[in-house]
Amino acid sequence: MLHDLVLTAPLLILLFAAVFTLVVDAFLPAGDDNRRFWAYFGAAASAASILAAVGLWKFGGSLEMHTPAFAQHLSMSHYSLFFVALTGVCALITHLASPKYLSEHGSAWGEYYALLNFAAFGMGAMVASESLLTLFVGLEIMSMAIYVMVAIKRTSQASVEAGMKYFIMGSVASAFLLYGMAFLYGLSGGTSYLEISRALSQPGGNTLWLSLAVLLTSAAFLFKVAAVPFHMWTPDAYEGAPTPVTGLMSSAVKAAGFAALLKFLYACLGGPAMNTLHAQVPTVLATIAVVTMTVGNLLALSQKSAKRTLAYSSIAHAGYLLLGCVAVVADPRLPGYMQPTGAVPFYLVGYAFASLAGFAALTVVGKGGEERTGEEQLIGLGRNYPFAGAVLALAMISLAGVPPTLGFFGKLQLARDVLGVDGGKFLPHIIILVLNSVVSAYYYLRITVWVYMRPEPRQAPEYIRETSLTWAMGLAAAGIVLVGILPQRALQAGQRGVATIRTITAIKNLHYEQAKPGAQPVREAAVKRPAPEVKPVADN
Amino acid sequence: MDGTFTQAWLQTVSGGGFPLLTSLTLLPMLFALFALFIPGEMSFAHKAMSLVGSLITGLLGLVVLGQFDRAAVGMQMVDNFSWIPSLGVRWLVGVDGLSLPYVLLTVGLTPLVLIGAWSAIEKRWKEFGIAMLVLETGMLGSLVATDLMTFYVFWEIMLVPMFLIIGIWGGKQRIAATVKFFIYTMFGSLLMLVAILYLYHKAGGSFVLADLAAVQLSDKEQLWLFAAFALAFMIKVPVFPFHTWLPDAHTEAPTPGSVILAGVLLKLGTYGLLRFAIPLFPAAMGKAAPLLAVLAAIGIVFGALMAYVQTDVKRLVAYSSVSHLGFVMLGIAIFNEEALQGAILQGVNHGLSTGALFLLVGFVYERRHTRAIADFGGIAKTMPVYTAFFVFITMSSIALPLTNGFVGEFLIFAGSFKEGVQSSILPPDGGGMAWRTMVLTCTGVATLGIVLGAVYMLSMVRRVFFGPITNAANELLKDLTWRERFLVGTISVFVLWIGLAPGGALKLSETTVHAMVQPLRPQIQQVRSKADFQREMRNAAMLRPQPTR
Repeated sequence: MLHDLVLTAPLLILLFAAVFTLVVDAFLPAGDDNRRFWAYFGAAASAASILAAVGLWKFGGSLEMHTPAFAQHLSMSHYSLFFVALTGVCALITHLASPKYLSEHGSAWGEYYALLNFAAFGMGAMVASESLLTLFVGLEIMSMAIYVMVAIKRTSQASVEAGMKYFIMGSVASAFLLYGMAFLYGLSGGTSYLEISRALSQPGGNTLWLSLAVLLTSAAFLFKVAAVPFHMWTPDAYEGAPTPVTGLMSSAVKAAGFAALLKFLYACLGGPAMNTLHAQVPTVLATIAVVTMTVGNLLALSQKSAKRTLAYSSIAHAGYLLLGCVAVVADPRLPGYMQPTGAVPFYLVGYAFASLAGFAALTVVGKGGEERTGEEQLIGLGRNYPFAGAVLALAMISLAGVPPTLGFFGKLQLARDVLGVDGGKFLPHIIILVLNSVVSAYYYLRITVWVYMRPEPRQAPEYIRETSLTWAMGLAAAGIVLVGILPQRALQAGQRGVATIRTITAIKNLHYEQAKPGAQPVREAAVKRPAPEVKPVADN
Repeated sequence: MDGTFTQAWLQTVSGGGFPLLTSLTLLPMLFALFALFIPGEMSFAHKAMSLVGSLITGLLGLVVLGQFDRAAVGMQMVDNFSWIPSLGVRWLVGVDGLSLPYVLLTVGLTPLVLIGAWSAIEKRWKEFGIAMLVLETGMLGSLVATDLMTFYVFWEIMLVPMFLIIGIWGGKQRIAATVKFFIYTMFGSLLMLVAILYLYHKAGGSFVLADLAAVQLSDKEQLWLFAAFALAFMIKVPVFPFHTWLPDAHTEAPTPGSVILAGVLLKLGTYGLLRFAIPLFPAAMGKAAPLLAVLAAIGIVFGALMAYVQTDVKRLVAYSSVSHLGFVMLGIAIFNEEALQGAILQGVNHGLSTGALFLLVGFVYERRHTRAIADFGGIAKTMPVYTAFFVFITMSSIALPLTNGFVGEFLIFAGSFKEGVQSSILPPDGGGMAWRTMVLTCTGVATLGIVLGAVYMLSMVRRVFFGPITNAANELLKDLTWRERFLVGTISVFVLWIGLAPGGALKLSETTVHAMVQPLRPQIQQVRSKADFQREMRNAAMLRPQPTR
């Protein structure tokens, strides 16, 4: 038990912070200044969680702490720790970016910070999950918190509408996920990734039901990461949400979604013994990826507001990332196969820093009740608030993928990995990705043009100026530049993360083999177990 | 030297040799970093900071020149560190006779441009100084890198400062011009990036030029990869159909931006072709050379004709760049020693003369805030010194003997006539006849370009400087200040020096060009022989996979 608690400390810290905020806030006197404390408290909690994750990463191995926790429902592997730390950074920066903005919009509630901690906890649980149950619970904790945070500007119609839209669409996605999970349970008789992957890799399964299950679960994930054709909610939700929350959605939610998707695809559906369905997964993913990036970029071209542009850009980036997933889930037996280097985790780091920096910089124009982020609001930002202007420009350059920013190295590594699959089978996809980058440069540049180049109005608009917001921008910008120039550490960490889901899956399978009585063929064993349990499908 | 970049850096600094080229490349960036912490209101501090940074870089450049061994073959002063081991990216820099002239041009031109910018740039010096310094790092890095990924990183780093320089300090249409410039260039570069990655996988995970050059490629692969590389470089040059971004960018850019753009950035396109595209894909170059020569000839004449009809002096100079770089491209397409020497030298010449022309146009623009030819006339009377400099640089631009332009263009023509008349490597079976005829035709057309060059430049000079003063505003023009005289004077000295005694400049690149042409020329020529061509046609007809060479 103690072992489990130590192992999940990064998550428990967040959970404790959330509950503590919720309970104690009720006893604090009213007033925005008292709520501000929770921002710093939350930031400290996130920092503690990151520290705990880093500590486990460094010393977990020597303390024999890498084994799964809570009866194999969670595993704090390097993969999980990487993403727990990443989502922790996102939560930290969001905490810092929030207080003044919320006061301006009359929604400085203590609950906001509690929800932010809950969301971070949910993401952590989601990426650490090793079974469908914990995956779903984590996903829902995160989603519920985010739904409320999106609608936290109670008096703003856009915000409430965005929250509502996101909630309804998200619920449908959750229903899909559950339905798909039910099928998976029915097919395999288990909820843990291990059991499912063992059962599914037996030959002679029912491909139709399996396809349906994969389709339904994938749809839910694609919804969370805003991939086409499940992207419709993105622009409205992103635009209506408070800007710091938008930053969180495009960085942490996306990171957690991809982390869980990748693990699900690899550990649950994949594994050493791959079935025919799994062999097709890369092709399908690549196709969705290409469509997603193209749609996202083309729609972003005609947007008038920076927030909405970045919403479509986040769709485009989901496309790039899905293509990156191809390299991870590709079959190692393919010709010309090259060990992936953790392109997806590394890309997510770059994307998270860039979008956090971008949305933190956009937060400064959120002065006064109503909020717009169009040309009018951003003109002269580079002159009147040089720091915010520079951070916004830097974020745009990184998103466009221009070296030496982090965004470039993310794309470079992603392209490298995908090109290494199957002797360049995905070369056309990479060319489409590259052309998409050129298209995207146009709208990223447009925002830079607003900030620096348009003639400025006589009267400078008022900006939100606040120390903690400056810190948020500074941290994100420092991430873009420093990790960009010396990316080796982050690259290695991502690589190790991806390697762990591979090795853990392999080791688990090995244990599973050994647990069986030696002479018994694997096929019979697996077939025998799920057979009586196929029925529960009807329960749903 | 293995280990991480920082470790290796520290090791080298403490013991071993001083990483000269690495310092040269990163020094401007370091100064930009300092400048970041100086408040924007202290514009003098920023002027001083950027100038001092570029001057120290210039001194380091002189040290590099001093240490450079002209007789040695291959890269010199190599620094080799591991940068991103996970991806196999190495920090591998060095100079040879191909890059050194341009390195010197860069470190020399940048301080001059910054001095010129004292009056040309009136606002936001903090951003300007930082942009110029980062730009210098980008240019130097692209010139010294011999690891393709390092090269690519610097190649793209140049984009952002130039985007800002044109977009913030440019003319009326600056935003459209700068976005066009950025997207055009990025489009080419990104396709090159895919090609680099493809090669990288073929080479088993290395970006080092020498490793990539050793990769065996089929003819089809060579052709596609060469196309991707050449497109990126030809957009940058720019070669004829890809030139459309250039007049806009040049015209809208502030004077310092135009000078750097014309002086160095365009030359990086031709440099990239010579350094990367041709050595990596010689056979494809053999197939593409006729096309390149034709495009170069079209560019020469087209640029000259377009220049002739311009009403804006700066736009005229911009189109003259298209024409001049056509000569450089012709030299590259011919690819023999004389033509290549000429092409490299002509690149430097164009940087000097066109850079000076843009400076001169900028001087008068600061006084009159117009560049239309019609607004001037007879200003030789009010600005005699200015006129003298302008006419002198014009002479260099139209390649009058005793100026640098003559030496460069003469060598290119000497090379191409030689190629057309007595191509020594070609087989005697007449397979090279078509190629020779084409070379001679292109050379003839290019010669026409020289005449046209004189026509548009001299007629512009006549209309702007001579005759009666038609516009009253021109009567009060002040002649050049000492600072301005110093700027163009310095460039004029080099113009004359290369014109009178070209030996020193040519010696810099002689060994390298020789070492480059010797192994590559046979490979390039090989595919042009008639027998080869016929065999390929047979293979294609029988749908048989071609044997790899």
